[in-house]
Amino acid sequence: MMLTAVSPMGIAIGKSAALPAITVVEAQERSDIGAVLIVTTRDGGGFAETLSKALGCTLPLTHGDVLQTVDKRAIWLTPRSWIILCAPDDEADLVAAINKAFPDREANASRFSDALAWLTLDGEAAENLLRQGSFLSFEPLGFPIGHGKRTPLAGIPAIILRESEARWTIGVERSRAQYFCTWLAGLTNSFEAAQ
Amino acid sequence: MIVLNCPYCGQDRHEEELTYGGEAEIIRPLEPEEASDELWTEYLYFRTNPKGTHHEQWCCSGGCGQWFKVARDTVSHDILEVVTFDKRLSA
Amino acid sequence: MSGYRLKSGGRIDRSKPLNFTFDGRAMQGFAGDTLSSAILANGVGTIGRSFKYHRPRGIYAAGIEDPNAMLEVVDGHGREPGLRAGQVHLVEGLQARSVTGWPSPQFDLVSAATRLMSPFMTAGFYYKTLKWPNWSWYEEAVRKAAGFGAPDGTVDGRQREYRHASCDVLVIGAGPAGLAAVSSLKGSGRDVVLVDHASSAGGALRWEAAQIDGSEGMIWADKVVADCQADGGQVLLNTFVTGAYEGNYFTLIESLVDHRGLKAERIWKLRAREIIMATGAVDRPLVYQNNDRPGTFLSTSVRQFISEYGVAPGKRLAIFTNNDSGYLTALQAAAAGMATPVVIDTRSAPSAAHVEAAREKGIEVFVQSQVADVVGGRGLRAVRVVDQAGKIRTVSCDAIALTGGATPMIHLAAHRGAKPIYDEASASFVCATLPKGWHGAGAATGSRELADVLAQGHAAGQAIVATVNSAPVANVALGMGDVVPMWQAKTGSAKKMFVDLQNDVKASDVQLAAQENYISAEHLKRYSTLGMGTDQGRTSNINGLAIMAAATGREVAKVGTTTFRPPYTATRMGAIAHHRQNDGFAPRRRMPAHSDHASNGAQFEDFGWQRPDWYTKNGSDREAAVGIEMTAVRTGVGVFDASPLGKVEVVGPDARVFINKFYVSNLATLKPGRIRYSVMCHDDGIIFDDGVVACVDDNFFLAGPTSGNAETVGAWFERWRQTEWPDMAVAIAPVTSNWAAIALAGPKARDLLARLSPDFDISGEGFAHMHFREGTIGGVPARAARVSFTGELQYEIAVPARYGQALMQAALSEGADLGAVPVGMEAWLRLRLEKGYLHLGADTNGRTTPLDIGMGGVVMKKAADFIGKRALSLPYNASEGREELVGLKPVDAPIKIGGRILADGYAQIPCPSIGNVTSACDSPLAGNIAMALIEGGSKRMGEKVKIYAEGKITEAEVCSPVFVDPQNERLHA
Ligand SMILES: [Zn+2]
Repeated sequence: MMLTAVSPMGIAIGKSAALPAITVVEAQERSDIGAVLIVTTRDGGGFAETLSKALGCTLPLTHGDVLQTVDKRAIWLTPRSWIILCAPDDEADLVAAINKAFPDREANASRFSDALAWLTLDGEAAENLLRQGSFLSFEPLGFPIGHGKRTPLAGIPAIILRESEARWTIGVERSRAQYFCTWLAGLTNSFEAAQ
Repeated sequence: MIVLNCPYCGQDRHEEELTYGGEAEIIRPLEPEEASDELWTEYLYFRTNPKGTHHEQWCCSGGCGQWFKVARDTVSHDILEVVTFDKRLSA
Repeated sequence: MSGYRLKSGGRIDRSKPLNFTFDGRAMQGFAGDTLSSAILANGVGTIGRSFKYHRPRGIYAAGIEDPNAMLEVVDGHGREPGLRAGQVHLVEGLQARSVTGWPSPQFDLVSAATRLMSPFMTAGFYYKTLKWPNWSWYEEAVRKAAGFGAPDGTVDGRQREYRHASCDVLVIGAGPAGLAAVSSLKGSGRDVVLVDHASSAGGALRWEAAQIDGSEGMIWADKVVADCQADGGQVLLNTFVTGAYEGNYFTLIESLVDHRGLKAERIWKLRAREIIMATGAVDRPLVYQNNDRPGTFLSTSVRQFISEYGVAPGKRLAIFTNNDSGYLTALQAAAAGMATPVVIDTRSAPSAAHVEAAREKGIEVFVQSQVADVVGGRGLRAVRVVDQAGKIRTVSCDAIALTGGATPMIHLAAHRGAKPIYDEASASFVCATLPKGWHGAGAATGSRELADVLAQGHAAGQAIVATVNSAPVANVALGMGDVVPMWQAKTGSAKKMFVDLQNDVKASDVQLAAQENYISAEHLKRYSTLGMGTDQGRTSNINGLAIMAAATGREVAKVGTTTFRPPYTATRMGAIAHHRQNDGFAPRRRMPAHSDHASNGAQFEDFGWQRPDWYTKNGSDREAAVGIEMTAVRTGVGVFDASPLGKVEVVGPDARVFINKFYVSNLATLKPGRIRYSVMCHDDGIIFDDGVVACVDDNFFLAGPTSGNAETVGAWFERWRQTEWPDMAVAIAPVTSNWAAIALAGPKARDLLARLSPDFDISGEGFAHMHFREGTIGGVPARAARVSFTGELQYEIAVPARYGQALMQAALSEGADLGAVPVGMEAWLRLRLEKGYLHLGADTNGRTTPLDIGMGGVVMKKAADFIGKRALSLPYNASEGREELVGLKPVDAPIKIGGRILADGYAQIPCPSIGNVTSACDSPLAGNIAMALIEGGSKRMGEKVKIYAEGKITEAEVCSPVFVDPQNERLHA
């Protein structure tokens, strides 16, 4: 017997699919994004070097910074933890590589691809959508392109990445993905009217 | 509406992104079994509740998840000082 | 009364007529009208009935300060029951209705009934009558008389938007003071947000005749606004600042209006470094007999109706004043071509310039005079003027304009705790000290003359950043002058002098409150309902406080004001709710197999997560369905979705020492691959969570908090790590959502698990109770725990969430011939009750310790310290007679959950209680069973207790809570 996988919004893994209920911006579910959660036992990136070597990707040491390679992005979460975005198929290998580098588990990697649902919002209106659910500043000065931040969005924890001026990728916890899409859909309706 | 600049992530965090954790500098006696009932009760329940400068614990729960210390004026709500948890407040 | 549209004048667009209706009557207005000005222009006198006495009332003011003009409005976007007419932009097709008279305000039948009651409806009415046992005598009549319309029960379809923003300078009010501040900041590089509730900037310049910097006031205003926008400033019109909060944080509500009406509202949450409070003032009425008749207006509003909307409020106007501004109204009325007005001035020595200007236009001026009464019921026909000598003259007029001075709008500063101080010069309350970063300017500070207002605004801007910009210069022919207070007319009955028109509070009510010793401002408010209307007493509070001062022989300053609270003006619930309605109200969390549950007939219950409570089976009811699910678990196998169960990885060299500090059981000896059940306490010894902990390896523990506490427990670990044990080498990874989990429970659970292709030994010996395995199931990574919540052979299998749906489907299809059925929360909780297992939060409360649930032995055996341990030996936790968890069996009737246990020796209520039933159900195996927290419960085995529930007293016997399989034979199968 072999179990098959589906994404939080019901698409196959490794794909992206449009979310038609969300208008005004182009919205997609991104099940082509996988993730690994790294937590260490010391603050301040004490193990960052070993981790970077095992990962093949440098870890950022300050809030907002996202460092990336061809196939990975490392997002600063806390002074001792990061989320690594990768292809879903690479998740297991990354977890194994890190845990092998730390036999005493001073740093730990956990599977995290299934903890979060990822959405990409593309369009000028995206900034205004985000502003309705978050206290962060979304102007280019307050949220530079390439940065990633963690904040409550629409009342739920979220990780927000700014990919370009008008393109944002947002990770929300899987069980709340449906709620988040409903929230966005409702918002885009009102936003159109309020223009 | 309280807005604090988190000393760990450097971001201005609004009240809705923060968690309040009660008075700061509450010391848990190191040897609980040696502590008298009075001392333990003091540790558990007694707080200063001042009118004026209050030392508090806050957590950047919506952001970087770190606990830090804040000196706040309970009358004006002015934020007098914010420090990382390993430091002592001077205000 | 007979208001009409003037032939010319106003800022309305006469080329754009708009049709609307009021109480079904077709009327016409113009683009630029408000509902107030349009109704007035159509000659309508009575627009509603008053709150308590159902007296006829008319339009009273031009803006939100109007206590009377509450109307139901239907526009192209929706219907709303109680809008202030001065705030509603007139649009084509708008329908307005009176909401305070039945069947209509002109022929009001309610008033006949309430008039009978009116002698009773004085101050303290609610205090004195609305109490048991005779409140019901009044309730029906009061309910019928009260309120400002009802919602129609449909969903509010208007659009909502939220904005979060910050700025350097927030200028509240785009009148001359605010604009002077904005102009002084020009070119300073400061990020300015200018807010005004009106649809155009200018404030009083919209209706006052004034020149600034050599041009007409409004031209100057438009230029300042344009400059501000060119400078990058943001100008928000149709926007109220509704609240001011600490940290200079503000809530704003912006109305977005189109040709069909109010289309959308935008709530701003805005933080500002510096604030210019230029919120202006409103006219204060004068208190005299029958001062509430339709045709009575605030004086400034009359100027606004004439100059801004081109509407004359009546054919002939009388102006009742105690300051020079009344003359400005008279002169504007005369200039607009209305019949020559009269001025009734309370003062002995009014400004000679004003009197002369008035008399030049033929305006008659009565000095040292007051209004003693009015003639006319629904329409004003004349006023009776009494002079110093007591001589009364009747002066015909169909409208009267009142000014008793101005009331500064200090609400926002007061929201922040700034104390209102009585200022003798302006006879008003102002805030002498403003919050940090605030600068006051203009009428909001008690200033009356335009030159002062502009100078203050300029100075406020310069206080933020000194620029070279010069102060605007005003050129005004006649000023507002000083105010000589007159709080209550000397002639006439206090019982007919209205102080608060919205709430029908009279001068006599204030005096009665004084007589009955409700003399503080806060008591007066509650006792008499003065200022408790939705207008928040804008026009009434100061008069009421002054009358209280007089009645108690105090100065006005000594009476003080009541507390100002947000919102500044009535705010739609819908705007605040935003999208937090229906499914957007709160995040409903979905399990990975949600849609499968739905197609299996799940009846969902909201536990934060949407969880199946039970599954319908061929139309069976809940009790039958739950019984079937329980029987399946006891005889075959049940499949339960356990995905929400918490999963927190605790990892690192110090992981074992660390996690041992949280649970009351000893985890120092827990071997890899083994699991232990335990509870967790706060440091006061009170249980706050329970669950199992698995030791994956010596440096890796997996904690399984309850579903409801999954996130809390992760944060709890993290808090102690950061704040108390920062040097411990431990990493905490909350991974709950990454894993979907199902539980297989029942004698055939092992058979079913075998069919799901585990790659590890699942034999009874190879995978014993309380063991943990990692491997694969169905070809995907899996974590499996053999634990039991039901008392049966049970496995909990977790796989990455993406496989959750497939796993649920596989378990049900592979197990079909084993009798596998999906099991919901209700059956699950009853199964655990049969086994006597604790349900956290139901069988424990905010006082329950591990000692109270029979874990004393476990606690005693643990040598190491843990959170909550020391508190357990504090006297009140260690004392005898605490409530302890026990089982109950019925003696005479089924036990009801929530029932109170009667104290020993009592057979009737009322009596002391010694505990309550915490869980109860009917069990297919054990009949009616229950658990209860009872004082000294563990020492009461076999005792009979009486339980009070749902009006009946029944009897039950205290027993062990384990009702099924006390030998654990099923568990270890
Ligand atoms: Zn932070």
